[in-house]
Amino acid sequence: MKIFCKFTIKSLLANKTRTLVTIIGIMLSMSLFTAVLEGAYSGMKYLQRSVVAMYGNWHGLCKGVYEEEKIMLENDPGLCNVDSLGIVGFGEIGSENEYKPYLFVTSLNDTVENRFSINLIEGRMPLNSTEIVISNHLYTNGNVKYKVGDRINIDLGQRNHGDYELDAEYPYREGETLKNTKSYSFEVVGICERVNYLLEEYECPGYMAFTRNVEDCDKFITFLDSKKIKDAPFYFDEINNKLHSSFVMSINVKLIAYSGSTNDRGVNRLINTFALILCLLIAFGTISLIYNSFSISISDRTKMFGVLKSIGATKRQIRFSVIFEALVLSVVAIPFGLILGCIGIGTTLWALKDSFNGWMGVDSSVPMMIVLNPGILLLASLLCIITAFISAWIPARKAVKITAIEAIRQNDSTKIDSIIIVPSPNFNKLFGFEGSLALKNFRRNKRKYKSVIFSLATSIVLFIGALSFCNNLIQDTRIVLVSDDGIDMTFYYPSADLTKIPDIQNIIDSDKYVTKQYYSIEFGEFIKLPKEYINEELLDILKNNGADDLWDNMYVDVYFLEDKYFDSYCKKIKLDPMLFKDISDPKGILYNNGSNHFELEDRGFWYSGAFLDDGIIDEKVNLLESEKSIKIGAISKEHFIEGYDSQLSFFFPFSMIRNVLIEKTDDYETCLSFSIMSKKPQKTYENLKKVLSEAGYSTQDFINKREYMNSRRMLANIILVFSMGFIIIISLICMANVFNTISTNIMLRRREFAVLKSIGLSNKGFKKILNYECLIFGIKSLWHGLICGLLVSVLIYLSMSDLVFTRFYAPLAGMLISIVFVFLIVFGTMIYSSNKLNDKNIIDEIKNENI
Amino acid sequence: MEILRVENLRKTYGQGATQVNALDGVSFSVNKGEFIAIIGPSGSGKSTLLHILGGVDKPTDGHVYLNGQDIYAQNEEQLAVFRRRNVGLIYQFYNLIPVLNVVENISLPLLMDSREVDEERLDELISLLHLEEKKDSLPNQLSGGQQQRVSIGRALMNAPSVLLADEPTGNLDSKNSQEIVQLLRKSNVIYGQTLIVITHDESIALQADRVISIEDGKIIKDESIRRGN
Repeated sequence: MKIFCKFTIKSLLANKTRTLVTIIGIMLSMSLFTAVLEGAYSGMKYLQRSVVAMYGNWHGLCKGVYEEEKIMLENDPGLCNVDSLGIVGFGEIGSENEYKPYLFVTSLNDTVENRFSINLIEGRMPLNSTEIVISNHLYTNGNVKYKVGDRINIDLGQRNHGDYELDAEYPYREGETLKNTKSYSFEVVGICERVNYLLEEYECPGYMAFTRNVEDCDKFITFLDSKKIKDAPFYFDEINNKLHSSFVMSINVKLIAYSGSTNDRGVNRLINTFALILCLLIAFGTISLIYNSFSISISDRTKMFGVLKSIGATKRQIRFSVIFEALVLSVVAIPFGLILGCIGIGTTLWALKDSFNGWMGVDSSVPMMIVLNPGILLLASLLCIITAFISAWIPARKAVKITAIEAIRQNDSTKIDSIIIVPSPNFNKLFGFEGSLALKNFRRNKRKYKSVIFSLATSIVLFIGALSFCNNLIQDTRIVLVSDDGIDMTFYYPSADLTKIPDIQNIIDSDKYVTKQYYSIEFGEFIKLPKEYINEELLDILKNNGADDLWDNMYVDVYFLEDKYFDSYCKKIKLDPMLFKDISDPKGILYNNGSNHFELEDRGFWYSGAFLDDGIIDEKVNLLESEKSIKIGAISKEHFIEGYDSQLSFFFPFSMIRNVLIEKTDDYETCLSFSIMSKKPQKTYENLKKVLSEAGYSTQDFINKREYMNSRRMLANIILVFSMGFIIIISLICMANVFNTISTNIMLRRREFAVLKSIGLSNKGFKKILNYECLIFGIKSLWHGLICGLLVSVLIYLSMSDLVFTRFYAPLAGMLISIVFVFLIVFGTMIYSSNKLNDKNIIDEIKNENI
Repeated sequence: MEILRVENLRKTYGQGATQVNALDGVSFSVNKGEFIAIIGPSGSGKSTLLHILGGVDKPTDGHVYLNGQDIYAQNEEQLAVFRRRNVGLIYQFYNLIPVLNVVENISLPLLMDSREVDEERLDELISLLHLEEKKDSLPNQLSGGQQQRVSIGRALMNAPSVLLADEPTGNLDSKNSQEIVQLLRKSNVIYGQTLIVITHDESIALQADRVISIEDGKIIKDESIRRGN
């Protein structure tokens, strides 16, 4: 085989341009494979890390475990990392919340404290059994104030109701008592945020607190990992049956899902779908590029293969030579591609690192970053090598098939069809001899040209596919991420207690940067729209989507706006505010120019525009959940928030809330919201958060929308940049592909052209022939490429339809760009190669037997 | 009447120590209607000479006059047209255009010139070449002899004043070789074309009016053959 290796390397060196193009092709695809796989992997790892930060690093959690059960769990062969948090007990703490009267003290040890996170607001973690960390929830919810350094003296014991022992997950019951109490004294050394709800459930009657190394705990909260992550939920069921009846187990579903369990349909499916589509696009692009290079290099070397065969080379050896070529090119290209890919995705993720917070339901301070994994890099390399091998294998089969003498004689592996072509006299007149020669060349040598057309068309398909994929992505991010209502922050007061309004307003006004604030009550409702008033265009769209009955159950927003603000809104849209303040006949304004995403069982679609006809004015519509009816007094095409594009909404003056909803508002399941705009949102937010919490308001629901919107907008921009980068690289692959194909095609025919020249073909005529061929290549490949590209973009749309909210748009821009670029590149390449050919001596070409 | 004159033709390849003189001061002249055989060992420069005569290769030095015109004084475009109209070239390896059939290959020089194909002359040529049955065949459907006859047809189609053949029979068996030579001889006689043939085949050389021997790029012998009828 040694001689074959040598032969291969020599022929690679002899064709430097093509070798380089091939290496660049493999390198680009390797970097794309790396970027996509590493990106997906890092994304998964990021989700895992943020789940760990939120809920802890465990698969299953058993609560109320006895000592002997703890030992059993520790020795279970299917489990690993079994760590326990000791339960010291419950004790009365004097909370104002009647459902949460206790302090729930648990004991950390060195191993268990790594299994979940305690976010300290101030102070430090406890060092021994006389120190304790309490949560700020005790103050914000129970109104019990302890500072760092205070001492808590408390009797801790077991909850009991009748004959039953109650563990932490059981809500408070009337008449329960504490048994086996013991006195403890702790020094408060730190204050933390409330731990996640998997650990301290919402029903838990105690505020969780943490001390350390208490010796005599007889019950535990045990964290465990399953050795086989895929079977974890089933295995935990088994374990559950072995333990005593009152025991309850929580499963860290998200962590298990993000760690690779397959039965989750959420985010990891999204990541996998994206990665799969991208990998397919890349593989397809690479194969079409490299296949061509190999195919050409093989037809280039066919004669050599023939000679080798005639002196006794076996098929296996010839095949080896081709595969070896693929291997050599891959070995050179893959390391560069790997580095390039890692740098690319690493930089992107680094730039993104803060933007992922609040995305995908993940809300934590965990930064996004690239996580290099040898397995993933190996997988990317493997994919790339397989792609290269497939590309080399197809033409290798052809080279092996032809006989030695056919190869030597250069009778060409492609047969020529004897089709009688009589171009019409008009054709001859129009395109001349050169045109008809080009046409004959094309028609009678279809097999040879098929690969050129195939590769050109593939490039077009690839380009359009990548473009529409990214387009979908960009459209979505725009809709999902960047719909801005202009409000910098919102403070939610979790009850409709109207007496608190002036106090809160004063606090907000005290900040010097606040430019505007208003309060409102907002809630979502389902209404039944009267069919006769529905906009006809919408009706058609609904019908076409088989969703005729959707208006039976439409989601709307209902706003009760602070009167001052409502009045100015009315002024803006030239309505009399008094019209809506008639107590005997309460009416609202309907915002009827929204965008709504209709969700059907298997897909969704987006509609923008008017929903209802003006005739609906003075009609009543029914709110389905609260069983009220509201009257539409006017229709507006403008939202009270300027330029805001939302779904159907109703606006009422706040003063009418009791008249519209009739009942006492505080029974209504809703909350007061204070919308705030500020010159310096970040400063205002920090200031108000402090002031509000000092005044005794919980700032858990004080949302800094500005920061959130900024980070989302940044994320949308980064997705745009990322998509553009992807399109550019794919386009580069396509261009390299076209260049490679056409220039080599011409180089291979230089002997034929030399013969034509020797019998008197002028340079002008030669260029003419090439131009006509270009025209044929371009038109043929566009014909196939545009149709397939359209199909592919439909397929991509369908496969992403779970994730995509927009309706399907034909990628017209992409098609137009393809048309322009195909001709530009094809003609450019032709000019390049014909210039190269013109420099050569005719007779050298004719004599050159190595073509 | 003189139709072709070659003056002090020189062709060198490479430079310095590796310099090769393919042609080293070759001069001769050819009369209209002459049949000349050029013989010589491999590498003696005979093919180079023929290619320079045909206007497909360029001399390093010297001149070629065809019908009194210095062909290398023309630019590329003019040279292409000149080749098309005045020279017929026949190669050892036929060099037909694979995608064109027999008729199309033969008419190629005319088509290139945007001239009407003279159907009568085409039929006459095809019957002269014994290709009546193969009119619509593509080159890969023909035998070697047939392919060579097509390439002769291509060379004759334009009625060029000079026909140049580079070992036209080198690739053929003796029966086919004989046919090809007779064909060339016939065209020489019928159309009064000047014929210059490179050959290794003594039987061909013996049929010529004149034999030029070349060695190391120099003419070492130039003799007219007296034919006894």
